[in-house]
Amino acid sequence: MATPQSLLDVGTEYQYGFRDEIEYVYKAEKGLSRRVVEMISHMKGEPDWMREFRLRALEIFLKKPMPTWGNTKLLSEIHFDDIYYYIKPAEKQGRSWEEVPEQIKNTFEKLGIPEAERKFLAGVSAQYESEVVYHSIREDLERQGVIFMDMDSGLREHPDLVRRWFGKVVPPADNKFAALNSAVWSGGSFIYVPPGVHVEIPLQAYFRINAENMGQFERTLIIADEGSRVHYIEGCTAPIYSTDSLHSAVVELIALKGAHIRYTTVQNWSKNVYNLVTKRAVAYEDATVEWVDGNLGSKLTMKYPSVYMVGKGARGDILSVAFAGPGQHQDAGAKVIHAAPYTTSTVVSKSISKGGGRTTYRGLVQVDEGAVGVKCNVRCDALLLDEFSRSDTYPTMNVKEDDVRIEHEATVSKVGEEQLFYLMSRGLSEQEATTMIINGFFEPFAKELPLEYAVELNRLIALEMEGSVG
Amino acid sequence: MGNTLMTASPAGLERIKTISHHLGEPDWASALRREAWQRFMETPMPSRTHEHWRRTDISHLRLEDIVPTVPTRTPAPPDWLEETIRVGARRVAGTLAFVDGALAYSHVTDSLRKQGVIFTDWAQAVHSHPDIVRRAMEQLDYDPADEKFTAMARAYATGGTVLLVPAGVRLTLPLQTFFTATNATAVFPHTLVILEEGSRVTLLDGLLSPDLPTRAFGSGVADLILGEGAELTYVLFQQWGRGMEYFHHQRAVLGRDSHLTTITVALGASLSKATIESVLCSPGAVSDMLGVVFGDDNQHFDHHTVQLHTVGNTTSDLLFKVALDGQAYSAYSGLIRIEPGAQKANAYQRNENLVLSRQAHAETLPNLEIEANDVRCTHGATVAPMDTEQMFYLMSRGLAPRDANRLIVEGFLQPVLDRISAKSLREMVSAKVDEKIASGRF
Amino acid sequence: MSLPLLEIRNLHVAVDGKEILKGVNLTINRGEIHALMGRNGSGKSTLAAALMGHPRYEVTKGEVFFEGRNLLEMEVDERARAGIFLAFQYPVAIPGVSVANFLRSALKSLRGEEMSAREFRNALKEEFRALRMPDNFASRYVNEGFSGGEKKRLEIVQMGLIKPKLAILDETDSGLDIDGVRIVSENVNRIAGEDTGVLLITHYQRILRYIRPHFVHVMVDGRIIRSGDESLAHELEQRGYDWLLQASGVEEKTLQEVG
Repeated sequence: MATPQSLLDVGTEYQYGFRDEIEYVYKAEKGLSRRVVEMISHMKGEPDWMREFRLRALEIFLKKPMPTWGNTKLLSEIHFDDIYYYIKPAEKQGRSWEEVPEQIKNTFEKLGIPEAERKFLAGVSAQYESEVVYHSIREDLERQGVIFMDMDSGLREHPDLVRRWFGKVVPPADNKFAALNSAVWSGGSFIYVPPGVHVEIPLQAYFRINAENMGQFERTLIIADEGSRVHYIEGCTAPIYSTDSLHSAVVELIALKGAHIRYTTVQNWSKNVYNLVTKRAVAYEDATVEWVDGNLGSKLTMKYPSVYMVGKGARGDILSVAFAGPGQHQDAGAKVIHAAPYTTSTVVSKSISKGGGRTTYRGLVQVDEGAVGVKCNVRCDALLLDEFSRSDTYPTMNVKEDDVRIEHEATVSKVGEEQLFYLMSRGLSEQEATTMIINGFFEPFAKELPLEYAVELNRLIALEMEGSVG
Repeated sequence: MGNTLMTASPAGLERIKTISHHLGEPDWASALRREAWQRFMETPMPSRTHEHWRRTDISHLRLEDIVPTVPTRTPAPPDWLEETIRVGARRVAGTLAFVDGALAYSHVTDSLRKQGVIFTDWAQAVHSHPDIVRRAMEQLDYDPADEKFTAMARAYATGGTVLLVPAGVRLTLPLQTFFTATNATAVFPHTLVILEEGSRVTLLDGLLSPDLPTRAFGSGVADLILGEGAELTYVLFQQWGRGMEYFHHQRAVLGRDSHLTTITVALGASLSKATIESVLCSPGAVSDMLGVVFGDDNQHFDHHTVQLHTVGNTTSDLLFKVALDGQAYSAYSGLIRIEPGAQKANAYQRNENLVLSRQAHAETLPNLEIEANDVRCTHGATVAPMDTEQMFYLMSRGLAPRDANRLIVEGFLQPVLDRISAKSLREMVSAKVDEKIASGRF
Repeated sequence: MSLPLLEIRNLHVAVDGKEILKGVNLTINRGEIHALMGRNGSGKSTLAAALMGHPRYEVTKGEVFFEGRNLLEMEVDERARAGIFLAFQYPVAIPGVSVANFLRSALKSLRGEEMSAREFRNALKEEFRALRMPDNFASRYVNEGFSGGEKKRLEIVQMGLIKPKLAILDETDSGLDIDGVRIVSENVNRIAGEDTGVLLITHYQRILRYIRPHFVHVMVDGRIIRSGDESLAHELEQRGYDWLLQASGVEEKTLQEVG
């Protein structure tokens, strides 16, 4: 049965580690240079301004030092010269699955994407290596003026809209990996929702890395015009290789007055993928942005979804969940910047470390001068399942205004002995009881997912917990 | 900044010799000073990019140009200090007072002496108890982040307290030390407290002065060593005058089943940066760490606390309360660190900020690093304005807004001050806190 | 079968190295209701927790047999599968786990096979109705945000679904109002029927008006010092524990130490 199991896997029994033997249409040489960047831009037939943007970003990338925080050891092991920055898998993009090359289609079949599309999605985008190979959107949405396409098509077909917002929320100089993405970006989603239009059913993008030493640099831009609503889900997997791959995306969200964007990520890269992603949203007056961010896979994730609340009454909600197994470090968190009065935010972070895995919550709450009436609540809970694992919590609260209420609470603990006893006294084995407690721990995340994903999440946690007790 | 050795004036080293000579220190003591000085000179100035120094700008400081004052022989305590000493005198077992690094006043009760308690100044202790002081000093570690400043403090230390409580001696009356600056532009207080097995004492370390006419600098260290089952209450009371830029590193090492209560009260100085560290390295150790900060005008406070659990079955509990008025700035950063294998460690940490003015600025960074799983660690932080419901309630009972305000701030800070169990000290500290609250706009 | 349901022989139990039970002997047969009474701190809840196998309660001496099997060798969940049920004095909250999800998993584990969704839903509904609890408790998280009374009722809902061979009710009456005690008691009687053994732990008499014990035991300082029939409970009610202490020659002093 092909439920969209694809999206979630928590570890040891990684089901999506298979790889395809593919003849690529084009594969750039390894390594990063001006030539490679110019070639990407040329192959895509981009306007001059974008080529210039890329080249400027490349210079910034080369100049900027690596971050001196986070997991500096793992970061130092990235070999930028040993990565393919651009691989084109197919000649053209399919509008139906029949148009997608057989082998690639089979991959997505195995991952359950077409079935999920039939069941509960309003639009699907499937990216393989550097390019989106399949794309669809329900006709009724298209008729209402909703734009959902890959970023490259977006640049071609909606140049003004793209030029107005592209790189404005996350400028290339923001950080080294944002600069890298800006130089070599390819694929990703472009979404525009017209004023007042509510897209009630989720749009989904699926990202697959197949090649060894691949770098995937998708770029997503979502603009929700005044009073509109949209829910976007992304998922990702990759094969298991002995060498590492790099995924470094940039996601920019713009929620105009009264708009509502929800962005859900179920990150399940194989454990040889570096996942270094910059995700940031701007929320204007009375707009709401929700990040629902689940990190289960990858070797090292460094990702801190942010909401800049720049209009009065804006709201930011961030729910971040992380699971770190052996060899994994999930350095995740959230940033909320209150730059306008009466803005509110909540951050909930839940993490589990197991088998020597390490989870880190890194967060920022900032209240700028003049942002009166701000409310913010941050709650972090970490579970440590054994004595070899580690959990860190590094929140920063920077408050430059007096009429605000900021609360932060965090706990780190093991699975409660009393809870275990209670469940076992009703006949559950220790493993079943532990799994149940962990499912409960992740419940706030699971309940934000479409049902099919949530069921799968629970199943995978059970799988992960097998043999972890006693 | 990088090549300190090149630009260094040997004035510091010369001055160390003079001080050592002046105090008639034994060779080992001056050797320790020189060693510390060497370390001070070799350690680069901390960079602003270092996490520990991100929130306090020290780029204007030229530490190599600062030289300590040679303590003069017999200074008299200024009148205001005599008054402070006199008020509490009857209910304390001993008092030391230092002016510009020289001992200006000393009183110890006979009973204290009879019980074998050593409570004296450094200059005296290196002669009278060389073994104890030397052994303790040679064991001390330097925290890398504060190394520049702690090494400097140890090289230039003039004045400061040595307290040793013998095994089993449990003092009911507290001890107090005052350290003040009048003419000196640089002060280097150093406190060493050693509690032997099963002993108990309360010590208040007061660092205080009126507002200073010129800019002054201070770097102090306090080393607290608790033997098995020892109980120490240590109150650090900082009320330097404006003009002072003061750096402080306090480090406590807790023995088996020992219980430390530290109460940090920070009211004064233009700039004050302090690290308060407890190392729980024996089972059964308990560290209660409390703090009160009240800032106004454009005072700058930067407090860093460390609850380091290196073994299991240890407990730490921290509460730091910060009230800010005017354009004051406070950074609080705290680290709970549970090392691998330290099972059944419990650690709590809470930072509360009361922001009283729109221009005040509070930052809080409560950090956890946990590498053992059978633990319970919780931290919390809040930033909030004056509670309007409380204001309303008090005013409905007839209080003027100004008084209601003052009362709420006092009420916010008082729970921490109440933890000073010695009545005389509690009253003295509370009075000074209230005085500062009242002297403001309230 | 002539084997007793539960047989406790000279049971000693320590918590954190401190001995709480100091030699308990008790036999319960099918269909028997035993009330265990005693003041706070006498060791009643310790006995309940030890029988269920709580890891913090260390059996230092003695034996316990359940239907002839050595209970002390069994894990907590094995004991549950063997047919023992403990209604907790302080049921813990399990955030994020719904009552329905929890009980369905528990029943699956106890029966070794899954109930159909419909069958389960109906059974749960029935128990909720019997305990006068609204159906929506099924989707609430286990004990989270429940009032004291709701937690106690949920314990009996579970008992109804699980239908144990031995039910240990630890102070199930505390935290309940008069109606609550009556409703809970009626349901315990209904569920227990003719075959279930019941160990009813209480330090009040009021629940005994509804659940009528065949035997009454009084525990003092970790031992059962007196056993009798229902009349012992009445006598206790009228004359108080002090009477019994004097009658049994236990000194007040040791009692106070226990608290």
